[in-house]
Amino acid sequence: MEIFEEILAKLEIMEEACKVDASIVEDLDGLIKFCEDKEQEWVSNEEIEARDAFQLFHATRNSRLILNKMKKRFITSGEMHDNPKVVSDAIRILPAIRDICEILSSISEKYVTPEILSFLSKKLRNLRNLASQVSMLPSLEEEISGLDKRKLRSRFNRIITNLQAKYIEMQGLG
Amino acid sequence: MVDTNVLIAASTYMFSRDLSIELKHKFFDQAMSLIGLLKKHLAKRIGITTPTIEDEAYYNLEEAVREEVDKITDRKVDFVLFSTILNSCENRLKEVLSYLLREPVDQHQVNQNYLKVANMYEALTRKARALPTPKKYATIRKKSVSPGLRTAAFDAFLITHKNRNAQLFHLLSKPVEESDKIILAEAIYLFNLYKQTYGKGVTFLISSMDHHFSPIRKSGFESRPVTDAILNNFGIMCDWPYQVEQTLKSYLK
Repeated sequence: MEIFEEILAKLEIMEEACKVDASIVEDLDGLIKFCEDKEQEWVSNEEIEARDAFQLFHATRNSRLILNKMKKRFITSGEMHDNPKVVSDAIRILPAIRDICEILSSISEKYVTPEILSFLSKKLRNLRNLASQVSMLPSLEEEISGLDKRKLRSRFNRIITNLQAKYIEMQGLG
Repeated sequence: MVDTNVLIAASTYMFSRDLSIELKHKFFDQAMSLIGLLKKHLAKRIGITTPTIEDEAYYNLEEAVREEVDKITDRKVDFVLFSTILNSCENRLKEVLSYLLREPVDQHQVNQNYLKVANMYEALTRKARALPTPKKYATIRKKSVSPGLRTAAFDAFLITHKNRNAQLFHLLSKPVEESDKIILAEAIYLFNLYKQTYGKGVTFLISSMDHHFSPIRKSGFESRPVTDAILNNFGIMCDWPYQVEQTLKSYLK
């Protein structure tokens, strides 16, 4: 994952110069493309069980959403007076995305173990917490825009039914 | 202290509102109502959680989604939908957790408490095993009733025995999990710490919908041998969100 080292080096120069180098957008596009390809891989690779593939997909998708948010901030940094804050925010976030991408790259050829998935889940939570602190986490509206709301509600209802069955089986409230 | 399941119920309730879905079971309302009360009295710092509870809540939320993912047929569509749901529920869970005080715990002391907790559940499980089955109990007891009433008496004895001991029978059908024992051990540690800090008048409650903590109330019966054992051994009161909310309100008057 040399690309991360290159981007981080570039960001450090930008931070020192207090100026955004527009070429960063192209670098981020490269990372976004990497994530998109990986997402596609987890969707189509039927050899990996759905629940495991989903976790890999979920981590990749979140990394991509955060990178997209970062890219938008770089694009609008001039007009939004977000410079050099966006640079220091990106320096905080990118190592956490690199951690996730390294895990995702390493497991593509291997058996996916519960330990790796649990490790990945913790890394993802850390990334989302960091992204939330520096306003790089997509809002609910951004997340659900373009999705079929009817299907979203139907899938959520399934989870609710599952939780109800699990937690409320015998308690006979009121 | 707010248990994992209450946190999950409140966060899923909040997301259901985002999607304009009305949840039918009143438990979700009651979990949310308790969280609302804790939020209202945030400055009093009466709602607490621990790192174990937080980790469990995130894990259980993920697991609930994964269990549904196991059943999907169209990965392309469903992965995005379930990923969105998981993110949104986790965001809400994070918000709920922000209304609670996250207490650090001393692992050494928690480990010592864990042994006491494990012994208590072991003793309760032995007690549960020694109980006659409801059918056996009713068969013996009906003999003390006049012959004409035995059929009705059998049913009454069966239901009474089953419901009164429901919490013990539950221990056999669903043994207590390690995480539950750790959470109770952490609660004992915090309760002892609070007593040392704030004096012996401190009351410690656990709000949970887990029968390994809270009573089972069904068909007019209440089964609470496990809840009572926790109260008698450790001085901690466990109950459902609604009951805990009512207790808290009486203290906050």
